[in-house]
Amino acid sequence: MTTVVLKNISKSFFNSKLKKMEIVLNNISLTAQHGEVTVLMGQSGCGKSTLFRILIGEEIADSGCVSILEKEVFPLNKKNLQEVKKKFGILFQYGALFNSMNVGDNIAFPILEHQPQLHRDIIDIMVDTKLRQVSLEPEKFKHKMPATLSGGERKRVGLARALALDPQLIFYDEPSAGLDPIVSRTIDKLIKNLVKMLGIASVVITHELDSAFAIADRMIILKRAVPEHNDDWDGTIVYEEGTPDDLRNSQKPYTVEFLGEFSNFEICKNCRFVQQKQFTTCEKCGKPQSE
Amino acid sequence: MSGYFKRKEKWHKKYLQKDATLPMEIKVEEVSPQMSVIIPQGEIDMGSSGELRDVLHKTTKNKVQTIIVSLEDAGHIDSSGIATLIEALKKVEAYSGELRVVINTKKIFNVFKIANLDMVFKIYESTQDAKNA
Ligand SMILES: Nc1ncnc2c1ncn2[C@@H]1O[C@H](COP(=O)(O)OP(=O)(O)OP(=O)(O)O)[C@@H](O)[C@H]1O
Ligand SMILES: [Mg+2]
Repeated sequence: MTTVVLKNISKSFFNSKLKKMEIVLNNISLTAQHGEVTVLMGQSGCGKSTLFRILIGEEIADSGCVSILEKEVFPLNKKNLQEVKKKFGILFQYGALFNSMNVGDNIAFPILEHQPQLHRDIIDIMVDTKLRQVSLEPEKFKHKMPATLSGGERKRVGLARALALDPQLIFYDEPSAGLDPIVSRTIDKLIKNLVKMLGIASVVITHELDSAFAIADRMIILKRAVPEHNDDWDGTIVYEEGTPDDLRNSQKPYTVEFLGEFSNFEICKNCRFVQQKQFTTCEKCGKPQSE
Repeated sequence: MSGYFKRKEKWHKKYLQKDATLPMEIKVEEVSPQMSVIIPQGEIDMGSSGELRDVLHKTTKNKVQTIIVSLEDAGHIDSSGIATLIEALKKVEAYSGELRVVINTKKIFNVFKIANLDMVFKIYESTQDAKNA
């Protein structure tokens, strides 16, 4: 089942410095499947966050269409968007917590918004369970205010909130950026497990290549193209998409450049030890790598 | 909880409770005064978990020593359903009783496992196993 379909999306912004419209996304089409992690990558400024905001209905595209969980949400259909919003969770790049509410209330917020009939004690237990799921001890963190959390903790609370309503689909903007390797691995594992065990679909934007290869079922590389006889950008294009192996074996110059050393190395699916391509068992943990 | 939520809850109690979702059927088998089997029929989600909570509440209030919740006919359980079971577990443990859960599908087991609750609950593959345990 296709959970996200994006067709021919274009978006321009007014560049106040150059005093003219600047194309950011040019005719972008992509899809994400149920039960898969789809990873979006691309250089800084290529329009990933813009695309993300269009996906979740927070930015209006100039043209194209978006459907989520088989409902068309753009061209704007408020009723569909409202309905679909209950079914997807969003993890923003910086957590985007409500600063005036403590951690527990932040996680309870979407539940109270959409399922106010649930008993307060039940919501409390749900909040605890979600916190444990992101490896935060409820007793220690529930009553803290967001301002007193570290970046990694804030992001994990954001993830717990994204999970609050048991979404069928989760959008992540940079889930592991700026986290220490251990926390980052915990989050990667959780993303992967949610998909594998519960069949949740995930769309992930990330800069971290090792994280991308650890979680992706499908990868999409976006690129900002430059027309040959013109100094202007003509927008971001989908440069290449495929399985992690497809991209690792790609001969396309930008993909090779973008993936850099990752074109020649592979990561153990179990312990993430990086080693030469096409190994059958991991040198470090000994785990066989074939599916 | 903040004032916002309290207001919201009050408002909800006043206006929304009427259009709650259709009641879920829950079979209850009183094997003996010390043992009850509770079998929810259909999906346990945010709309229906309240009913399971009511049944469990009654059973734990009577301090039934062994409560078996069979999810064999449930099809699906979400985190509000799981929370309902956790609440019941706490109550049962408070009077040194036992809560046993019957799970016969991978789908439901995974919901417990991903929340690291597969070790918290006593899980059995069939109601018979749970009764005999
Ligand atoms: N509201 C806006 N008004 C004007 N220009 C904008 C606006 N939002 C984004 N842009 C421009 O669109 C381009 C893409 O921005 P975007 O934030 O989507 O990039 P990104 O790929 O997410 O980058 P990063 O990897 O650094 O997060 C940038 O050139 C940015 O300046
Ligand atoms: Mg960005």
